[in-house]
Amino acid sequence: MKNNVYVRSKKSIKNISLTRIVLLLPLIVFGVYKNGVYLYMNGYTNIIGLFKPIIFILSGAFIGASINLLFEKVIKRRKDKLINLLFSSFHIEYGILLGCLVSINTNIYVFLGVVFVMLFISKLFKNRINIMAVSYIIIYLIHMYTLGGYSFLNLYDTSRIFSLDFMDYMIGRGHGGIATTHIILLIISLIGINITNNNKSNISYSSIITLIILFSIYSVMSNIPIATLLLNNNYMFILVYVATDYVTSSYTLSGEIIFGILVSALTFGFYFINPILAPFIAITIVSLLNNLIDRLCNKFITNHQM
Amino acid sequence: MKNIKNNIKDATIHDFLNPEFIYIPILDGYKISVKEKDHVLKEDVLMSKDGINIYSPISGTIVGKSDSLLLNNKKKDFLVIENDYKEEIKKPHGVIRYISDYDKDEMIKLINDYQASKVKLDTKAKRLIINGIDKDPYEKTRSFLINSSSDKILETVDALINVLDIKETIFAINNNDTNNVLNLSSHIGTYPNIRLKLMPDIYPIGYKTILLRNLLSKRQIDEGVIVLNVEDVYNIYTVLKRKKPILEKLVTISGKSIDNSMVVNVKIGTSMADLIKNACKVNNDKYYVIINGLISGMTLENLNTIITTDVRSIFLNPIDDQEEVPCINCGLCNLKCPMHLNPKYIKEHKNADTSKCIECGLCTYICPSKINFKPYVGGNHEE
Repeated sequence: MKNNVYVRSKKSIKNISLTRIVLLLPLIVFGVYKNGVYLYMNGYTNIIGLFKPIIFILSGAFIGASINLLFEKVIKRRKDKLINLLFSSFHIEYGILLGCLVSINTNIYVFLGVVFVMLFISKLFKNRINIMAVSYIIIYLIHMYTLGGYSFLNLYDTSRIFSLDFMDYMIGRGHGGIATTHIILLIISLIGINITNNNKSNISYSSIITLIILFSIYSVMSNIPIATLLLNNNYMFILVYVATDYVTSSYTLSGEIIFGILVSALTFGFYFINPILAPFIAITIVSLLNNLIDRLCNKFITNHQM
Repeated sequence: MKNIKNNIKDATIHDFLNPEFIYIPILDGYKISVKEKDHVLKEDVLMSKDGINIYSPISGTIVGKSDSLLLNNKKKDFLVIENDYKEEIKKPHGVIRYISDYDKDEMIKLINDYQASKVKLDTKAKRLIINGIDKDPYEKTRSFLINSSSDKILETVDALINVLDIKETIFAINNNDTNNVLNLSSHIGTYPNIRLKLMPDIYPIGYKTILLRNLLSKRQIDEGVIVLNVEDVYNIYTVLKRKKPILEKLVTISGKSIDNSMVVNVKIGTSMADLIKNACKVNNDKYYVIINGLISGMTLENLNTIITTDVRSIFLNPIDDQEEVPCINCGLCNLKCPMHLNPKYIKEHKNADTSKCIECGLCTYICPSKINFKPYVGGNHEE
């Protein structure tokens, strides 16, 4: 006999994941166009290249789904509807987001191997750390040290030299992952996930505002345009989708704000070491501290209420 | 899925006032004033303690004691009365014509003697709040009571205003409760001292703390306020008008395992099993029994218990197969808590302060991981 609540809200991991994925679709469609269709139509790539962006994203989703099924159906032997087992954790979303984040030049075998191993480990150890950030760091390091480098530029981008202004970044011509560059679509997506209450919006807003402030100061000092600093290298996408990973980020109101500020402050610091990895290293470090941040915030609030 | 929120289609209150047996729990320290095979009349004193009497809801024969029933999931001894269906009383009640003719002390004494309300009437309070909003969104008890007895309720509130010298009175009802909005709007003109306030249909607005916070400022609350729900007011009416104890109670019966949800007027001390067997059609054998709301209520082991003054509703719901999964850190429990508590933190820290919790169950309701926070956060029964 237990004391429980016998009506439940429709909010579930499945519901949250699906909403976030649906709101990601416009960015994915643009990414497929920019890194597949456009290149194919202009003769920069073959038929395989046309489907390459979608292969990354779908294979990420497939790995996430397989791992959830493997754990829930085979290991835990849970008897539930297939859809509930597939969305028993956020691993499908992690797979899709990693597919969006990586460069179109990423080696597909490295991507598949790293994503599978890391998502498996995260499921095994119940997500103690932001697995998207760690996976990305590993993919990047493998490319840098064994495959000769890592670049966000696709074949069209490398064929000529561009001078990008603010509006170019807004319509997705900046440098970044497969489906992360269109800032207008990203803003629409951010509004969507916030309206549907499927995002830790305090993390997104506090981190974006902090990063804007820090890069503005640096921009004045270095004469590098603020848009170049802020809108390249997936920064905005990471702050909207990766930093706000439910499981590994703070959950109290003040905790979320501090989490966001710390992520951006560390991103700014690591920017001078490696601009591409900076946000991922920052998120990895801060995600390890999320419990501590929440506990301190809770203690502080409790003490001040008394 | 069956929508049980709007499942009570029949707007009438059903009666179940003739159970075969009545069970009166023998509470600690109470002295029993009857013995086996005694014939008791309705309203006879069965037991008493420090001037507080427990009255017989029916006339009939004392058949003895039983320990086969539960009270709040605990075994208890009960005094069993077999109904003779005659409803005999010692002497018929006179009816008091104007309940506002009572003086303050006499009124408070009657209310206390007959336990019309658990609320202690603060004679210095300047504000009176009448709570006409059901505590749980799936309950209809208060709504039905207003619908059937708005004239009596308004008359009693007016009397309380005059006798207790109340300066401001607010009657709060749900703005979605269309029948009662119309009903009260048409009657309230006769009572210029009572202000009708329509509250948004947002759970848990029916809770005293939350309702007060939405109606009055902190300073106004500190100045003194009496909060009575409509059941209290109706009980006060019965006590003042007829000088008789509270022997009956309105209860909502609903749930997915019940075909004909209803609000029923029932004798206090009726066995829940008797009530369900005689009043409703149950469509499923495997169910949970939940009393006092699907969100805010508590689960009973079975129907082997009785209707007490604290029971507002009974729900029979099929056994839930939703599995709890590990917490995803979404923070919704913390965000939605009306008392600004942190249920996740409380669950993880045994020494965390839970005294502010009003047990509304919102944290459990909203949790995407289907975690049950209720055993951890339950703190303070406010009403």
